[in-house]
Amino acid sequence: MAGAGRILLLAGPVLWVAGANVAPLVEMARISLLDLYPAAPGHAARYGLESYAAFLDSAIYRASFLHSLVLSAVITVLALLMTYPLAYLIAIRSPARHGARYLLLLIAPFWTSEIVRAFAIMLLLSNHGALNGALRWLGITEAPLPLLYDQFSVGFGMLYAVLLAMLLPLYAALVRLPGELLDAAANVGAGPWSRLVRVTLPLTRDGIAAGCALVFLTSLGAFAMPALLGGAGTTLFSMTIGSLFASSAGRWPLGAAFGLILLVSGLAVAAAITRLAPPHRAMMT
Amino acid sequence: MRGDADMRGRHAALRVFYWGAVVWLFLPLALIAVMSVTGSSFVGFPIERVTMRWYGDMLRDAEFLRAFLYSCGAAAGSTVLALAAGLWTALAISALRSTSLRATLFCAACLPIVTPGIVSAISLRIFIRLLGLDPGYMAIVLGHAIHAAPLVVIMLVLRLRTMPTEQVEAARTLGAHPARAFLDVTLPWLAPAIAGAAVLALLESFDDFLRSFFLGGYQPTLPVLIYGRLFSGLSPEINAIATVVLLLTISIGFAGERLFRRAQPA
Repeated sequence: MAGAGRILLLAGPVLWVAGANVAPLVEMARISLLDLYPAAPGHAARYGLESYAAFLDSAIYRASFLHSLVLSAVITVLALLMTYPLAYLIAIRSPARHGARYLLLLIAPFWTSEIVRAFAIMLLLSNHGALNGALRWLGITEAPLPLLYDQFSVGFGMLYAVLLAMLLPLYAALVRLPGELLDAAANVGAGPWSRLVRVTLPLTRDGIAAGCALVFLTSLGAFAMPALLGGAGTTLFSMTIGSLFASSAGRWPLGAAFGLILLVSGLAVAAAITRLAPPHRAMMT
Repeated sequence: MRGDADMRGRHAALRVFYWGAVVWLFLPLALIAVMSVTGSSFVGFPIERVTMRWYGDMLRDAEFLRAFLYSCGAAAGSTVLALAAGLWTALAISALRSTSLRATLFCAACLPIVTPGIVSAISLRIFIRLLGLDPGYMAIVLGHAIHAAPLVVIMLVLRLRTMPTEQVEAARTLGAHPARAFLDVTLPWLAPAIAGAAVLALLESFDDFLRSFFLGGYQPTLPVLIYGRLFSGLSPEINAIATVVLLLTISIGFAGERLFRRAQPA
């Protein structure tokens, strides 16, 4: 292709990616180093590491950060355990046509808003909700069980929110797995357990890694689910960060620093996960 | 091996697990629709009588109607922007000959997918201040477009990889201008993927809460309005609103999926 046309073809995307995807994160990193932002009139901005020091100094901030990491790890493991059998059934043990329909049925709930799904869980778990109603009707409980606004409801809601991010990579990896391979393993006497551990799991490692990395990052950044379904004892780092932007001005540098801490630690964990199993390169080559 | 009784037993267990998961995903959503037609003035069970009263309230609720139209406007604007940016990026990615450059541009284009939601929202809030943009419609459109563009890129790159390149080369050999070859060959080939990506981008924007919450001005989008009402105590009208959002988004999703699948070559 002609040089000028080629440059024009590349210029738009490079500008878009640098301006829209990279610049907001760079600006966030810059703000995190300021002492005051948005700056008061007559105040000369000063750069420093105070916001990061504030994070290290505060037991409350560190606790909510740690809470987010642990919860996201738990959600990731639960999502993997729950989704792998589903993806396996759809991708391998269903005729192609049915498989597509089975997959669609699991995807459909994710077309609606996270807020609507959070509300749905409130209706399920509240004191007057469906679950408590059913338990009382069956005579199992007398008084309503407090199921909402605690760790349980936050975990329940986040698992409900991230399932799709696990399902799609696992499905993509499993559907590539040649069925003859499993048949061959069976023919040489490999039992179901041995086929799973020695053939299916190793060959879908890249899907597992991609799903886990994606779910971990999604869980770290979740805001609406914990805000609506959580209570006093369940403050996540995402909510801490959000509150620094919602409240009075002047806390933006702190919020930006916390955002960068969350982003870098999330990407580091995601990179470690994908290092264990390099993702499928087909998209990029 | 398929006659193996043990195998069938395990598959039956898998199937039960699958349908259990479907119920787990859909039951809470069905609850919203059920609650939207109950007569009791608080959200709860058991249900005593059926009424359409809350739908009537919803249709007279100017705040809801404004938020709905605002959300539609934001979805339309951000989808157009995301399609333009995504199409251009996908074309550039598939035109690059160097593998490492292609991988770099692709990864950079997909960065918003791996940015945790809250980080995306606050970095965009900081970014619009740098641009001199006040929170409001333009900020929301930009934020939603940035979030949706990677989906467009992925769908179009996948579609471009299966394009029979001989056709473009033939058009070029026959003396077609690159723009002509693009309009007559490449664009029709991409059309179903563009339609599918457009539906996804529309839904991403219409459903989005996080970015709208941090980038919005006084006028809330529909998810932000619902969020606010969930905090200010539950009026049963919220069930009607959520039911409408639920049915609308799931129908759009199914319609988009059909559109995309029908247009695929067999």
